Amino acid sequence: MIKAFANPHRFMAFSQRVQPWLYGGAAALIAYSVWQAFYVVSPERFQGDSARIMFIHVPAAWLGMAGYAGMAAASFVWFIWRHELADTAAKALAPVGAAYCAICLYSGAIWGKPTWGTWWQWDDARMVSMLVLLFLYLGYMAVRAAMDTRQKAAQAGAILAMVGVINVPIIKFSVDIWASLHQPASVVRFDGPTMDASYLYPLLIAALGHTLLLTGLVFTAMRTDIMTRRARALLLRQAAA
Amino acid sequence: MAARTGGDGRAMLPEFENHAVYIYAAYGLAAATLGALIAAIVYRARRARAKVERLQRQADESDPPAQG
Repeated sequence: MIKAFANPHRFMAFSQRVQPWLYGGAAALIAYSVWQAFYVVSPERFQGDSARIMFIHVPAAWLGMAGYAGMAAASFVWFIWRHELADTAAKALAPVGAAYCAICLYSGAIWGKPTWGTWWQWDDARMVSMLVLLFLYLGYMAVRAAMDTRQKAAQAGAILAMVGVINVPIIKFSVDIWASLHQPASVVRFDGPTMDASYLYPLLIAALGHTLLLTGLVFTAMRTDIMTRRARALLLRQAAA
Repeated sequence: MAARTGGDGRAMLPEFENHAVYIYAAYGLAAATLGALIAAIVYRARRARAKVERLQRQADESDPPAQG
């Protein structure tokens, strides 16, 4: 299966077909979730209206973590099988995942001020480990940019992605291990979600919408990378002729 | 939660009972971040596609396919 997806021509044809569905689906689901957040859900019992920030903060957190896990998985595939498309996927995931990670951090700070009375708390393990994730994303992009060949960039980036992925379970379980401002997990739990359905379903729809957007953007960035390499090959052919 | 209405009576933006500035700040910044990201990725994609098309055209012109 990996080999079937490792062919750039097959990927270009496949991504061209699915992109309109990804972007269309993302636009519809995100618009629906924002409408739910602004007009439909009731204010939360303790937090009031500020709980509406959840519908952007939580999907951004999930995608920030999922983006890095995907980057590490793609890097692993590149490291073992040296499929160029896997490196292309890892490279494309970095800026999109970093953007979602940044959205999670500042929407969390904005939500924290009216809820906890503070923008930031250094002894909250969830906040600090999420900030570390943003630095890992930035470090990954910086390391790749610092290398003078694609091969070296892929190798250095893959090592950083695979080592840094240890931070993802730390983020996930930080609220259970080190209790601080963040509440324990209320959606992704072994015994099922504890969140009320009126909040849970719009939240899941928002997460699905943003997942489609992330996938569409990663596919577009991967296509750009493949086209850039094709342009370089054409230039070399012209220079050789 | 009441809806702020425009001159023609259509609902515009919701008026929250509390924390409205925080809600609009969070969603506004997220929209700006995602908008900038989408614009950058789409711009780079269009530029790369235009470059490949131009180079491909130049290559085809300098090496026309055999007739017949």
